Amino acid sequence: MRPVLTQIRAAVLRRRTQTATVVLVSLLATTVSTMALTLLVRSTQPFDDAFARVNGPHLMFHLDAARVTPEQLQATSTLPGVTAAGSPHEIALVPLQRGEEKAVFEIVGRATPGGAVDRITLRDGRWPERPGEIVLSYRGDLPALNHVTVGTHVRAVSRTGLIPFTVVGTALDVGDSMYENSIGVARAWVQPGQVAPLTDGDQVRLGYEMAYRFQRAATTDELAADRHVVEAALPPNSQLWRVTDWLSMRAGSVWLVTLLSSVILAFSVFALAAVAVVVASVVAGAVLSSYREIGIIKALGFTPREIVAIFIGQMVLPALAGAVVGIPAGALASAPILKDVASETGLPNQGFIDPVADVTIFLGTVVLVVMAALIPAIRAARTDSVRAISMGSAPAASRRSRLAGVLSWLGAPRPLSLGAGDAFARPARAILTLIALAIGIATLVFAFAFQKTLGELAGNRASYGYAQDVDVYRYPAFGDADLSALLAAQPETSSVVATRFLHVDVPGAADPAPLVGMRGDAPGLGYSARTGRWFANPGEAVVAALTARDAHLRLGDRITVTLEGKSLTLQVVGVLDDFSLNGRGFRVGWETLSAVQPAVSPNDYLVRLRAGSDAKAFAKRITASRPESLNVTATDVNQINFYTDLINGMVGGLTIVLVLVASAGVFNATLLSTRERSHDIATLKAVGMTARQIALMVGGTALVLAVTASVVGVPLGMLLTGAIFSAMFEFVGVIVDPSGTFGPGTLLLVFGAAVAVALAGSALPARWAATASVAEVLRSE
Amino acid sequence: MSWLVEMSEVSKVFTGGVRTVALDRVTLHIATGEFTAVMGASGSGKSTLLNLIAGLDRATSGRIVVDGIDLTRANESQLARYRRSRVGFVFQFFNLLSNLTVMENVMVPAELAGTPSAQARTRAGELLEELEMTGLQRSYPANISGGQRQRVAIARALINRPALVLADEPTGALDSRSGDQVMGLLDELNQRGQTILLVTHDVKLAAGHGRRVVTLRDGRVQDDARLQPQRAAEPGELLRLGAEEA
Repeated sequence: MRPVLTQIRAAVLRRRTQTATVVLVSLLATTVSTMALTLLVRSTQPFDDAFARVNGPHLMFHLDAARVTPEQLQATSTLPGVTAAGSPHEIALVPLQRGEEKAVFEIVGRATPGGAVDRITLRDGRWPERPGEIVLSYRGDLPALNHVTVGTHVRAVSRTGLIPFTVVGTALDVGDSMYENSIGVARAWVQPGQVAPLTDGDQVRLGYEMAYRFQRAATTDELAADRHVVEAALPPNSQLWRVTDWLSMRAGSVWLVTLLSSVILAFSVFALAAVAVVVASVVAGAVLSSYREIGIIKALGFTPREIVAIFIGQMVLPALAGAVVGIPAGALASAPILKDVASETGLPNQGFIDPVADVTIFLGTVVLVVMAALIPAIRAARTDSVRAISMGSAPAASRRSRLAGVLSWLGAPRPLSLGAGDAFARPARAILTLIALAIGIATLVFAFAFQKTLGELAGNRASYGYAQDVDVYRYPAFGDADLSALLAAQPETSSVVATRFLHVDVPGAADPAPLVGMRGDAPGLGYSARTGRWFANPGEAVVAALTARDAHLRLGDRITVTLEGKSLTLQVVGVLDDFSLNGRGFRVGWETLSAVQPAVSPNDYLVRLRAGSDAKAFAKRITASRPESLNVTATDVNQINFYTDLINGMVGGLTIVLVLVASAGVFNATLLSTRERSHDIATLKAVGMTARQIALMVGGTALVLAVTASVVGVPLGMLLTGAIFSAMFEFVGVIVDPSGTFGPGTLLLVFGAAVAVALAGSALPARWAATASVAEVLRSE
Repeated sequence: MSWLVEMSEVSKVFTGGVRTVALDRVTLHIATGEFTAVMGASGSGKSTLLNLIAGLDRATSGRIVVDGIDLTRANESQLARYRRSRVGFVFQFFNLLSNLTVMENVMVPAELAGTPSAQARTRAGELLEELEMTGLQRSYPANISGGQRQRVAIARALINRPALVLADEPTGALDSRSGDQVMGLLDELNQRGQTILLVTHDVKLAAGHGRRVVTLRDGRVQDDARLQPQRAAEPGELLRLGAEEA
């Protein structure tokens, strides 16, 4: 064993460049993989722990009290497949106010925090025992209402005025409900019988929540089947708003990770694959360059198994050295995202060290490297020692390159055609290098398309509900006409679009879809259709992308939806990207909405201010005019910018990693090629080839590899982009067709980048070849 | 007399590991049209001398001027241009590029010098015809004999019409018949005015073809003998040269 270790140690120290290459690619790949695995495992852990502890509901129904009775709901608790069900609890979506801050909470009338399902864990205080007492759950995005303590006073905003409550406890809640504009809404609990007085039958309606656990609820298909069982037992159209399922809640608790998981996973797999091909290529090169040495050590008595161990060992050692640094680096890189996830959900922050993930990556790296090095190592073990000692070096690859011939015939400079011919002199190595390079190019294609698409989406502020400078939410106590007059009277006001958010039943769809009525110049505010046009006439609608896809709606189609029991026929004139509606629903003009709901009035006012106006000052002034009836928010795009920057940064970082690995692959290939051809290069220098021509020749090799890899890498990247985009962007409600982002300009840019990566990888070997002493090389022959 | 090669007080010291003086203050002048044979035992410094004149290596001290170009002051690009246009190199082991045909091997220096491809091809064709290699233009080095390979190497050395042909043990890897043919070619070239510098350890070869025999020993010029034109060396001369080499 000792002689083997001595050989490994000697090889690692002597082949410093190859050792450094393996250390680098291993470090980069383990960093990315550890980050991916840590995020995937750790991010859902807080939710899973909390969900198990409280016997969380697999499905939570929100039903209209006008259409279903508590008795009917109670009867569903014995349906087939239901293992546990809560009692029907009264609910209503009610704005709570503390100081100037208001937010809508789902107020639940519930006698106790315990039960067979959906148990509520109190953080502090006690459960409400009498009217006027309330328990609030944590909510990450509200500074004032989040930091309430026992004894704090809050007020519920209702049509009849402000109703005071005293906070007697705070609770940890695993799930948010999906409210009007699909923003998660936290729950608050009062004694039964206290919810109905807060409702008005219009904007604030009374409903019931009903929680279920099922025998089979591990997948979306199983959940869909469970849901059908319950729906079949309830009156039609009885849902107040959409059903919440535990898988969505879990994904929602880590939405950023869910959004990025497909990217991170794809990049991790690519990075590990690139490591495997680079290692295989390095070992193959090591075997060729130690041909004579292998013959000698075999003659000295090393067994084939020991020779395999020597070659695998000299790869495993540097790979582990890279992993020792890469794994902690990857874990550290996941820490800020895990912290962000925890602060959003209010669930306890988990450490970023995941021993299982870290050990898996460590062992996985060893297995991967052993597998990659095995075939060339076995080849080394099978070397004929007599031939190896007598020949001194591996048989040269002296096949004629057709490419070189064609280039020469086309009149390409001789150094270029010679270099091009070298690219495939060792076919196995060329293929391995092409794979590494194609992976790098594919990620470049994805990164370009992603960056462009994300930029376009982020630039379309209307798509995520940030078109306005100030958002004014009106509670019923203040009339539409009065607020409209107030806003119009402000000198900063440029335009106002008043909206009302409702739900409609869509034929064939399980969940009600949002319908937003808009009064005013919506296109002037920045709203636009991605395809088709904005609505202009009564009966016309612009439909969100996912609804259009699922309902098979095309431009010009008509669809009849049901709004509060009344039929409404809409003609599709446009399709839009709508993050704010999770990609679902319809936007219609006010005339269209009022035709079926004459009494309805807008409650959300999107205000565009004149250039140079101070949005915060405007919001403060409007709030001060009617603090109890308005919730005014100046648009803050910093949060959106934070996430787009984070996602862009992450994709950019991952792309750099894979491009570096690809570049390392080219470096290794050209280094081995120039070393094997050192004699030819010396001869060429002896007959007058300049250093620049040598560099051109080595660059020619890299160029051919880059061009060939582009042929594979670009379509692969387009394929990857399509798959990841559909996984990523549909999650946030946008259907992105990436084919539009691959114009000739982008492809040219990618090709240029690929060539640059390949040339960068070949730069050092080219320089070394150009400056090597001819006399020394020829003397050593 | 006009000197094609002027070496003045040239020394070459290798310092990697053990300090070795390969050439020690060598002064040597070679006239245009001369056929000079440099002889010496292994380690005497003859290959170092050839490499310095070829511009493949740099002197530690002294001055080397070839065809008016001061090699000791030239930069790498100038040396490359010098190698491609002023000298032609014939190696012991041919050093042909195995993945190029005979024709392409001959054309390489011309193409590197920027000669248009068609012109280079014509010139290479003429040289190969002259060297009786016409039928082998499309062959690869692996498919021809050692003597033929060396003839290809000579054609390659001549394609840019160099002022000086350097031959480093050109018959060392050949059988005696092929070696005679190659040396006959070099003689013929010299008779047409081509300056030739031959490095060999073979006394017979040096005396039989060189008009001048320079003997090196331990990096110094031990002897510089000019032989009579058009005559073979006398047995006594050969014995003397052989004894000096030993």
